[in-house]
Amino acid sequence: MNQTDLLDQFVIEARECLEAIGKRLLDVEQDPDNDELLNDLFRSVHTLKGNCGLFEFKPLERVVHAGEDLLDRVRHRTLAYSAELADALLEAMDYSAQLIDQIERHGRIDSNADARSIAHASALRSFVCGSEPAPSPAPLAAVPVIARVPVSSEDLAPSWTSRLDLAAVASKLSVLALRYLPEVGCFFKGEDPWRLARTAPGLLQLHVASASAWPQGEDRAAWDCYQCNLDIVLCTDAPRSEVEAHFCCVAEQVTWCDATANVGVAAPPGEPAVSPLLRQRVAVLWSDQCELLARAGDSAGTVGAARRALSNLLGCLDGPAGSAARCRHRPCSSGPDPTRWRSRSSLSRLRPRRPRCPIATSSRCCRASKTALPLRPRRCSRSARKRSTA
Amino acid sequence: MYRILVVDDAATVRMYHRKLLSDAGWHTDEALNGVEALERVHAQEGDEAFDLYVVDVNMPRMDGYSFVRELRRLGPRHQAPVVMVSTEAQRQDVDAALDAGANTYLVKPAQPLDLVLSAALLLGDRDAALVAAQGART
Repeated sequence: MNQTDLLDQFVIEARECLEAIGKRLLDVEQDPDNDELLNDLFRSVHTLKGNCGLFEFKPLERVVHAGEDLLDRVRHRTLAYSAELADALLEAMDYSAQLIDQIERHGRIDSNADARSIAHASALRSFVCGSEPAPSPAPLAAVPVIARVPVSSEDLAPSWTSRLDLAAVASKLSVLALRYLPEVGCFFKGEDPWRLARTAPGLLQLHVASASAWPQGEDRAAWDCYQCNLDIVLCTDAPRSEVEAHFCCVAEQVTWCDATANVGVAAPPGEPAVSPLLRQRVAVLWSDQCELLARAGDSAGTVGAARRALSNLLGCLDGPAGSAARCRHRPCSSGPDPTRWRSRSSLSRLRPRRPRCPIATSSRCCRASKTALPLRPRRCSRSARKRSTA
Repeated sequence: MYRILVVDDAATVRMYHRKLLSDAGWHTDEALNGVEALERVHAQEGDEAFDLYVVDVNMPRMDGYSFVRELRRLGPRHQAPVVMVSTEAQRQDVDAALDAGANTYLVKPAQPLDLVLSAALLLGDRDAALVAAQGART
């Protein structure tokens, strides 16, 4: 199918709609209280308007939209059906048929069609103006379910998180990263930044660097060796409240980032990184599933559908391993994918708690460091310590 | 191959949605209303079950809300995600779709990227999602 096929189909269906509208208008004139007839009439106009939206046929859409609004009020009994109203609708539909002829002949509507289109639409809307105005609900833009929040680079992980090997902790359900920049004079306040960092609850990785370049040459002699020049980055899987309590005495020197997002979207070498657009869309859909779960009540089917959608969203954030597993197993056709424990863990806790979006970014994410330092192992493993001791 | 059922009484919209989804590499089928869609669902066997539904709201015989409610009453094999599409763009329309059990809501005419990316993510088709997102950038 190409654009021409779609346009041909549009013309065919538009004519069918216009024919149905004409017939139903006559039927409704005979039986104006028949809800079924009114709904049928409305649906034909609604279909025509919906199809117009696929193309740039504004003059046609304008007229049909006005007719749809009119009939919506008629079927909801906020506007009385009348012979004058039916005449105006018939005239508008006759004009619509002329526009469809133009579309069929030229693939477009003549540029001078706007004036007549506006006149017909205004004639239809004049019936509405005299009636009770319909309530105007909140605009869609305010709806979180389908709101499309722009993603800026600030929303993404700060660059200091690149000092952590987050891919190595991908099995963790929740990872919190933090950057701790101790005060220059902290040693004189009895603080021990290194120990504080090393004893952080749930510590997974720790990386330390110099906060500023070490002095060289003559500057080195003048440099105060008792000042602190540490820039510490770590990640943990402990609850945030626990980690905050640990760093409470230096809270203003610590910045945070929910690194679970980066765990989820970490792209293996050679694979393109997940784009901000994709992350944004996942976040929107994740939010939709949370809303769905909140409304699911006792509907096992709805809960199951939300679980499946969440599992599939998680799958899209996985690397090739996840994709390969997906190819082998139909997506959650018989429960969660057994090859990915992170998804399974997530799913097991859906009911009691609101599932946390794996790419949600924290508003408390810290500022980005200007230089990304190379990755390296952060924490000595037990075997490494043994080797070191030996 | 993932299987998607497009449910819409408008032939032009069905053609448009099926074109977008099949271009993304998925198998598509169609139904003209909720009743016909349920018949299609019941006719599916085993691995032939649909992986996703793209459902219009306003349809004769059985509207999209009723179809999704019926779908959610079926067994676990039919708990595939539902993308509800409608020209209505008000809060109460979104609420009604979610109350019925739809997984997300798109306003008609659904933009190609919106539809394909939402479908890819809800299907768990990471490759298609990456391609769609990449296509949007170029």
